[in-house]
Amino acid sequence: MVITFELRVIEDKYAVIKTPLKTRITGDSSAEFKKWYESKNLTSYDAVIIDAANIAFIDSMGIASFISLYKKVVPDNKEFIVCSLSKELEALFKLLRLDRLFNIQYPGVDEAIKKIKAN
Amino acid sequence: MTNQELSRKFTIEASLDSIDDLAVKVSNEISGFMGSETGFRVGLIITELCTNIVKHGYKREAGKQIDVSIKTGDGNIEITIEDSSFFFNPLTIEDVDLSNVDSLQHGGMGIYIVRRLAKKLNYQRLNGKNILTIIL
Repeated sequence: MVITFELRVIEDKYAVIKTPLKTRITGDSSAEFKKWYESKNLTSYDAVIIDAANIAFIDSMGIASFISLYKKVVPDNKEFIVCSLSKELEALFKLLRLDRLFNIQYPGVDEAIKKIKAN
Repeated sequence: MTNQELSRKFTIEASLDSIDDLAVKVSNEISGFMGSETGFRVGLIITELCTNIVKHGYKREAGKQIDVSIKTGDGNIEITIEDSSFFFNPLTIEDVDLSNVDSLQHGGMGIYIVRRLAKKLNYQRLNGKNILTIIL
C-alpha cells in the first residue's frame, strides 16, 4: 500500500508533516517515509513538526524512521516535534523514552508553534 | 478486562503486508472486548515478532508461512507464533541501549518493546519449528 505524506509550511519557518489519511507506519512504509523526507529540504526550516493525528499505528521500523529524521534535523539546532499522538502511541514513545529526544506533549500543531514562538 | 474468551488460529504468508493485515484484524477484535490499548499492544507484538521472522528468519524469501494463534481467558492473552526458518530465538537479541540514539536505529527495538509489554515469553525449537509464546 502506498502512503501519502504531505508537507505544509507555515510562515516560511515551520515544516509540518502529515499523512492526509489514516495511516499505519510499519515495515516498507517506513522506508517510503524516509525516502520521501530525504527528498525535502527540511533543514531549511526552524522546526520540523510531525502531526501524528492520522497515524493510527507505528512499529519499531517506523519509529526508527522518525529517529533518523530527528538526527538529520536536530544537529542544525532545529526543533523536532511530534504532536497529536494518540494515547497508545504516546505510551509507546514513552516506553522507548523518546520523550527525552522529541517534544511529544503538544495536542496539535497550533499549540506546538505557539510554544516555539514563546521560547 | 472481561472473562470473554477468544481462540483464533491464522496462517499467513511471511510478508510485511500480510503481517500488517493480520495485526489490524487481531487488534480490532481484541480492542472490541478488552479495550483499544490492549488491542494496540497485541497488534504491536504480532507486528514486531513476525517482522523479525520475515527479515531475520526467512530473510524475505517468498513462499514461506507464519502460524499465529491467539487465546484469551481469565484476563490473559496468549499469543503463539510459529515459523519454519532456521533456529532463531529472538529472546537472545540484546535490548537496545535507550540512552544511545544511534543504537535505536540498529535493531533490537522491536524485541525490547515486546519484552516490556509481555508478562512472560517462552521460546522452544520443536520439530524444525521456532515456537514463541507470549503471555500478556
